[in-house]
Amino acid sequence: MSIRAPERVEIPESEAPRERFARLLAIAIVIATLGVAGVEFLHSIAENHADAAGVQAQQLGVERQGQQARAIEQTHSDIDTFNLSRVQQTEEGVAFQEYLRPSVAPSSDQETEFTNANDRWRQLAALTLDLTSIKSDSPNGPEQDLFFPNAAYADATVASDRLFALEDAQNSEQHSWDALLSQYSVILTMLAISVYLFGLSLTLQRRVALFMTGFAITLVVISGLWTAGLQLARPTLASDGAADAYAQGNLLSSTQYNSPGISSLQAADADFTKAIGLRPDFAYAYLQRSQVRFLIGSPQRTESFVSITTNDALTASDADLQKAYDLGLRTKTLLNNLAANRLLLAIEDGQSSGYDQATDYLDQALAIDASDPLLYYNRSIADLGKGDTQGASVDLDTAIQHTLYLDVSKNTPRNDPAIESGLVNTQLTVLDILAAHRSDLRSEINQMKAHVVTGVELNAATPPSNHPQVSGVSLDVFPAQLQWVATIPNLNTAKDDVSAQWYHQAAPNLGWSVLNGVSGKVIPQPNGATPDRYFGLTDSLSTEGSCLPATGNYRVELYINGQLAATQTTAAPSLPALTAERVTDIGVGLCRPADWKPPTSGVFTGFNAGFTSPNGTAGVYLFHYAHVERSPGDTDQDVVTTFRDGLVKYLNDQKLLPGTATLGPAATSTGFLGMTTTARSYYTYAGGEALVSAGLMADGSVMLEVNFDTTDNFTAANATTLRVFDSAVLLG
Amino acid sequence: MRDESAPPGDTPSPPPSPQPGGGVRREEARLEADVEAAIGLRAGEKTNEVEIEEKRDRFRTYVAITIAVVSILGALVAFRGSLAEQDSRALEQQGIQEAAQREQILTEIEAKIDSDIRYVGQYQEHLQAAASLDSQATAATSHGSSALAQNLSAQAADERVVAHTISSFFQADFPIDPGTGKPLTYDRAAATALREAEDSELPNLHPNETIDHAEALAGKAVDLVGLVTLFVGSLLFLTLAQFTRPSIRRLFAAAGGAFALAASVLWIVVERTVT
Repeated sequence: MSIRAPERVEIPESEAPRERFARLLAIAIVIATLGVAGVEFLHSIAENHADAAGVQAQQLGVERQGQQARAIEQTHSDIDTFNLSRVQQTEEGVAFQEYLRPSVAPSSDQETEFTNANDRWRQLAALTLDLTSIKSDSPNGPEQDLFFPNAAYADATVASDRLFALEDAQNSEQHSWDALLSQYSVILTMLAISVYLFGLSLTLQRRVALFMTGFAITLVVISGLWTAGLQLARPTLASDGAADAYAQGNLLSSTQYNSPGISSLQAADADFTKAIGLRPDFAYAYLQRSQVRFLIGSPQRTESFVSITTNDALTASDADLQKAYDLGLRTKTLLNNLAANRLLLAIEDGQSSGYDQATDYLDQALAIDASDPLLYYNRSIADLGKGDTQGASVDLDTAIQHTLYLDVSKNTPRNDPAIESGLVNTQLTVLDILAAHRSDLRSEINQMKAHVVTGVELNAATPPSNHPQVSGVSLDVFPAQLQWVATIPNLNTAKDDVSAQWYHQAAPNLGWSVLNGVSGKVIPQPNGATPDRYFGLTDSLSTEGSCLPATGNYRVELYINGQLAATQTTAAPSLPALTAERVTDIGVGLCRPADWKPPTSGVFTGFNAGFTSPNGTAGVYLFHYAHVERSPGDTDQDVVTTFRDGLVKYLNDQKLLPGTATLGPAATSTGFLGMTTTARSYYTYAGGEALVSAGLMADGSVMLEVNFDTTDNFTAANATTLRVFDSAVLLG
Repeated sequence: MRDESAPPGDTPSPPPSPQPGGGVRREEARLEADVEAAIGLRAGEKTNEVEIEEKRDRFRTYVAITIAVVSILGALVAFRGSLAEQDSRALEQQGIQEAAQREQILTEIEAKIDSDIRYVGQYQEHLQAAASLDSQATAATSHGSSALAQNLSAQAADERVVAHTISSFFQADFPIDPGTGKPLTYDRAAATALREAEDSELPNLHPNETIDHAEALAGKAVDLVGLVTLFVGSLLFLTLAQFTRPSIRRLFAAAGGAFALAASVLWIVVERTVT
């Protein structure tokens, strides 16, 4: 048997190129597959980074919540301990008052007992104060923090704010990697298609096969170039410095009211700018900076709702909000603020497109929270600006309902007068700005103003039909009080609903803003013996804990039974800039120069308090005698006169005045803190004098105020000392 | 016409036997004989070509087998990568849970300490009041005010009773009394350390380490995907070895083999490095 050589298969001339084409396609398929594997490798790396960033963000979120809860709880504990110390100081003051009682005989057991108690409580208060980081004069203590204990809580949240910023950075990094992943997925799809096309080309006619192959090669080339390009755009994690700056900026902005002017706001702006510089996609830093920039131009720096600012500040704030929006942030606050800015710009610059933009943002915000009245109030402004009075009316009614009720469907009342009046006031303010620029809408605006005032204050009830005429309106502006006096015939103070809305204009280029705390429903009081003459007096210290602006213009709008009855404007008297002080243990609030500080001796919590100028030549003292012993036959007037004159001994014993004082002449005016039984006189001492005022409280206790200064200052026009006296009010 | 002559060089063949039917059949027989003669002359050359072809076929067969093996290895590596990724994700979740649990425990401990600190002030108030009243009672006795002294002593006793009651409220630690006139001390850091050390769950919670391990496993999964790329690279070279000219196909085959070998070695390294 012989072995035959294998037959050689000769490829026909037409078959040879096809075979070569097939071999090239096979190689192309493997190259594309290699591309798939390579891109998949890069995809895995990106996925790994995205996962790691996501896990880090979750871990930071968990740590932040724990840290925040612990820090807040620790601050609660510190505040409680500080308050306990204050109670013990008050016990010391009470014991001291007992010691001062005239019936306590010198060197008696009773005197020893009160002296011992006084010493014991003083020692205990000092020991308790050692247990807390909060001191009376520390930056987070009541002397330096106008809204104590807000600064203590702000300090406590710095660490959690920092963790929030780090968490946000990780989230941002994850999103960046996720965006890369999406692109890698597209590239993988393109490569898969190219593999398929290479394979398909093996079975097609030559011309079609060449076309498919060319297309597949194009896909492979694009994929390669795209992948190479993506390597240049790999996300990087921002430095921790951005988080540090963000946390510091938050601290400064949340306690800005404790610093003079806009210094803290400018520092906060610098911190947020630094944070943005270190992390350009930090949307929350843009949001926070927008609020700071708005406030820098605003006179409403301590308000919860703000609507007034300069055009430059508004523009700067709007740019930051837009940037935050472009970066993908969609919080209710951002959307509302963006809408509000667009409304203000539309009103001031006449940009009608701003109303549509505002409506769009507000609709987005309402999709997040459909129960927020502020959103409806703002949308009603947008509707009105566009000329849609029907839509504005509907939105305003909805806003009023959500102002009065937390849950409108269940009629759950809000029961938060501060929030309710704040919402009304911000709506009135924006309507007033609109009225100033749109004379064509003035009638509708006045109706809306009356509607919102009546709707919220009367709880949507129908007001009485009595509409008396108002005339002879005059206004008085005090450091912490505003008063209107008017002639109102046929006014029934028991039935008629009277509301006074006080506006303030800080500068001619700014709009009028409604003042919180002093605006709202009021019961008019008869003004002396003049028939039909009434007055309404409200103060900002007991409601807002703040003094009134010392400059600018004031205006009142009087609404009676749901209709605007009168309006009057006045310029603020030339007042010194004063800082609010609520002496809660005495029950008095007053406005004082910022550099007046409490004396280091001679004051006892619950008994007396004081604030003196740095050189000690001027100041104010308050005394509250809870234990009043009367001699037989003493009248109320005798009691207050006795205390007024007897105080000189205590002042001299404790060296509270710059010199040894002696009784001087009685004061011509006897008015003091609105009390009916009062007595006032002057004490004199070398180089200065003191005005001593005494009054009998409803509970039988006696309140005294001593205002002292050099003789020259005392007699000067608008003397600071007398403005401090004018500012004093009894706290509820 | 007949041609009886044979071509020069041909091997003589036996005369054909007479066949019925004439000359055509004889012609065919001659042709066959010529072909066979020709084959016989070229047999040596043919054998070499066959050997070469056989070698080529064997080479291609070996390459094909290698391609199959490398493909299977690549698939296995991808499978291992997938498993590592699964493990990584499970550990990530575990790490987050551990972090949450740890924060909860720390918050509970801190809450107890904050509660203690609130009571420290009250406890101190009554404790120091008792001491102060005792001292004042002694002074009153020395001044001959026995009634006042008795009164003060009674108050001191009352204060001690209240202080004793409050002392039972401390949960995390107990304040230290350095003596009359000096404030009680409550060491927050020591109390925290003590409670953390006593907690039975806290020592078992290591969220950072767990998450680090998860990230290491995720890194391993990525490395394995990278090895798949190497295996595919090997396939590319092996494919080229199948199709290219004989002069360079061995080079491609070697490169493919080297890639596959490197990927295999790295696989072992990756598997051993992270477990």
